[in-house]
Amino acid sequence: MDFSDSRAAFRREVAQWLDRELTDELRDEYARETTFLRVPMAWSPNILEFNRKIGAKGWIGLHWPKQYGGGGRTLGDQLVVVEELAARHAKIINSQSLHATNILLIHGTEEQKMEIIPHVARGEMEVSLGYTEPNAGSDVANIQMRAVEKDDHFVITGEKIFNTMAHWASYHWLLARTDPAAQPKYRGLTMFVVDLKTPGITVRPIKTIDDARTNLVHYDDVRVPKSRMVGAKNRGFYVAMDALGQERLFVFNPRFYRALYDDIVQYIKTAHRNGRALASDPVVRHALAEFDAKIAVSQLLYERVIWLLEQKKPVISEVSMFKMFITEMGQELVRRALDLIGLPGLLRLESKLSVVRGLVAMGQEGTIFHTFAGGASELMRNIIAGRGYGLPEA
Amino acid sequence: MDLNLSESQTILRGAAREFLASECPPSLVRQMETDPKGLPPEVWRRIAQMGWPGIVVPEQYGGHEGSFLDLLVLLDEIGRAALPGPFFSTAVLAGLTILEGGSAEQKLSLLPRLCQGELFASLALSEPGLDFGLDGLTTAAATSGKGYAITGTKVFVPDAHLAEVLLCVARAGRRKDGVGVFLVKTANPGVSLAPLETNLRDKQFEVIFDGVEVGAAEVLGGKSGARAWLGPALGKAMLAKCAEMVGAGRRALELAVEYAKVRVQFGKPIGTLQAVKHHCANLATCIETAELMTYRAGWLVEQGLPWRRDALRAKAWTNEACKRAAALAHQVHGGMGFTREYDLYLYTGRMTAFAQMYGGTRWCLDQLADEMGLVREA
Ligand SMILES: Cc1cc2nc3c(=O)[nH]c(=O)nc-3n(C[C@H](O)[C@H](O)[C@H](O)COP(=O)(O)OP(=O)(O)OC[C@H]3O[C@@H](n4cnc5c(N)ncnc54)[C@H](O)[C@@H]3O)c2cc1C
Repeated sequence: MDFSDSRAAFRREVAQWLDRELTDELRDEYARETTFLRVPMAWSPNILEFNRKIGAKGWIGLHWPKQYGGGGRTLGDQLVVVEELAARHAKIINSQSLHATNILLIHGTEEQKMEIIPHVARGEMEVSLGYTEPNAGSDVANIQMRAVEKDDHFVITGEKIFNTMAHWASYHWLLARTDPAAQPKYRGLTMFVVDLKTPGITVRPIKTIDDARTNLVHYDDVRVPKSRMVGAKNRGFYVAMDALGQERLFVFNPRFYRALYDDIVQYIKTAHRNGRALASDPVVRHALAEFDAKIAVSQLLYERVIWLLEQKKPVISEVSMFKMFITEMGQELVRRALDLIGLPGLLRLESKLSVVRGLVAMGQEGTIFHTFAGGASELMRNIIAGRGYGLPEA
Repeated sequence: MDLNLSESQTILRGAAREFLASECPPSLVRQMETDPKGLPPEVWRRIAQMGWPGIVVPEQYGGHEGSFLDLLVLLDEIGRAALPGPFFSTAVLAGLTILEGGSAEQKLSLLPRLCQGELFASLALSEPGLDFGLDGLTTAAATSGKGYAITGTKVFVPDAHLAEVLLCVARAGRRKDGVGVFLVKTANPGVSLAPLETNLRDKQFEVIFDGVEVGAAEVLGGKSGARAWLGPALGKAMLAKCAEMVGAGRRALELAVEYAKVRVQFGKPIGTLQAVKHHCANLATCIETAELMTYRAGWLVEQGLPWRRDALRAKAWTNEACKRAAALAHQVHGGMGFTREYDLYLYTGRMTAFAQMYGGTRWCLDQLADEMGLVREA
């Protein structure tokens, strides 16, 4: 066995660069704008610029082939960048496009790859994910958005919901139905990568309870050339699933929670409540110690997935366990932290009395969707039981 | 990261599993609940022949000089088989304590016999009203003639009935926090044992030391400075217990999953029902995470890296994970798991009881908070 950090050298390099480049104001800005995966109404110029800077360093797409602007290195190295950013409350803001890109590398045409991947790697292009529909959430196979083949193109009509980033993205990563009669239903879906400027597409905002934005995306007889199809017709469901294993590692990061936790501990060490040092309250001490262990658990679950991916082993059960665990832990952490800190925990960053960068307050709403979006905890448990331990289907 | 066992560890695990499956089936574990010794001497003899008692003892003292992770791998299997008997008290508690604190001479006189399976020994640490640890001991060693006289009451001394020697942890020296570890022969006048009955039917004892005389040479590693090395010895024992819990947990998980596949209600296996699936997924998460935490801390020990904080995390986590896992495994089994004729209780009983031994959660979290620099209540 070996639990050492095989990526320590690169981690140092990234950490040093970030500590130099990421100013305190910028860190606050990231904390306010992007933590807990929220997406603001609009990106600030500072954050957009810094994302391009990360891209210029070659740190977006480190694990992609060089001919598409990638770094030709390992997934583990790319994740070092994600982790070190997360440890500073920051992130690669066009990270949704990493999902699309990972799949394009397997199924995309040369033209699609050249058109998209180098821009994503430069940190200047986002691809919005268009899976969810009003009647197809967890049940992705039930997607109804209709794509009808006609000559050299498809005509697409229907509505997607919760397509985060669609207001900023250049492309729409769209799963649509090409065979309404297909049984089982997931066999009738096809994947497209659509230019969001195509006539007939409207993007409307949905305001979310964490003061962020996601979108409704409406297609009204939109003509999409066949060259926009990713993978084979009616194979879209399989195409979508292809990069899921690694993708879940890019979304939730244990180092984000470790950093948040360290800030909480730091604050509690200095705080007094009801006339005594908060840190001397046994309830506080035990709660913090408990999360110290829990975050360490999430870190190990995370590293286990990387280790398995490196050996090209199946990760479906392990990555599901990780996703379920970290999202449930994150919710619990911010709720317990609020109780430990008390009223000041309710203050947002902009408040003059805010503590822990306002993150405890933000996390109350901000973590709610983590346990159902991108694979609900219930589904994760189904997968662990079914795929991991062979329990039978109903 | 690399979660694979080494080749020799894989062999060790395979051999242990095979041996325990044939020599320590659940029927034997049950039978030993009422056996006065706790393990058939023949089984112990064979365990000794395989070199298990001395698995981490250096060769010069007759051991196998294995690594700390080897010990964890072995205890994982021991937990999985719910092996009763003196392995933990002799090889882990006494063995590690002697290794950490004994002088070369003491090691030479004790360890070869311990490795051979000839010397049974145990640790007398806990006292009524005290947690696991070295603070607040009332048992004391007073200077007396050429040696010491030990007086006090110890509880939860495992396998004291077999032990030839007890390592008695007592207050010693002039400093208030001085602690020494004294080698006390159970045959000495003034030592009396009384069994303590537990649900687990493990062999726990109250041991009263009533002015027991020990010679000046019968102190491990200096008369009052044991704190520095006994802490690490106990920390390692704590992790060893984690490994045993993980092994028992694995077995409980397997039983639950297997049962969910074959038990039919309402015309279909209960494992098709999502509520039951989720119990199993939660159970699996408990055990897999406890395993990761335990082996990671063990790896730190083996590497000689700082490990105390991770050991505390591991025990706190493993305790809670195992308690939850035990409850879930029972929930999946319904009434069948509640019978003594079914094996599940052998594992869940250990998972629950061991969570209290060598660091209960409250104690671990308290220590962890200290490690993190959170202030203690005045
Ligand atoms: C802020 C935000 C951003 C998002 N961003 C995107 C995006 O960019 N692109 C995109 O395509 N989608 C996005 N989503 C949508 C997200 O992926 C869905 O919310 C998710 O798939 C769940 O679908 P649903 O909301 O329809 O809930 P439902 O699927 O209706 O689930 C409701 C409840 O039923 C449970 N449930 C459903 N099926 C089962 C089952 N088989 N077994 C047990 N329980 C079940 C769920 O676990 C959940 O508890 C986003 C959502 C949010 C809130």
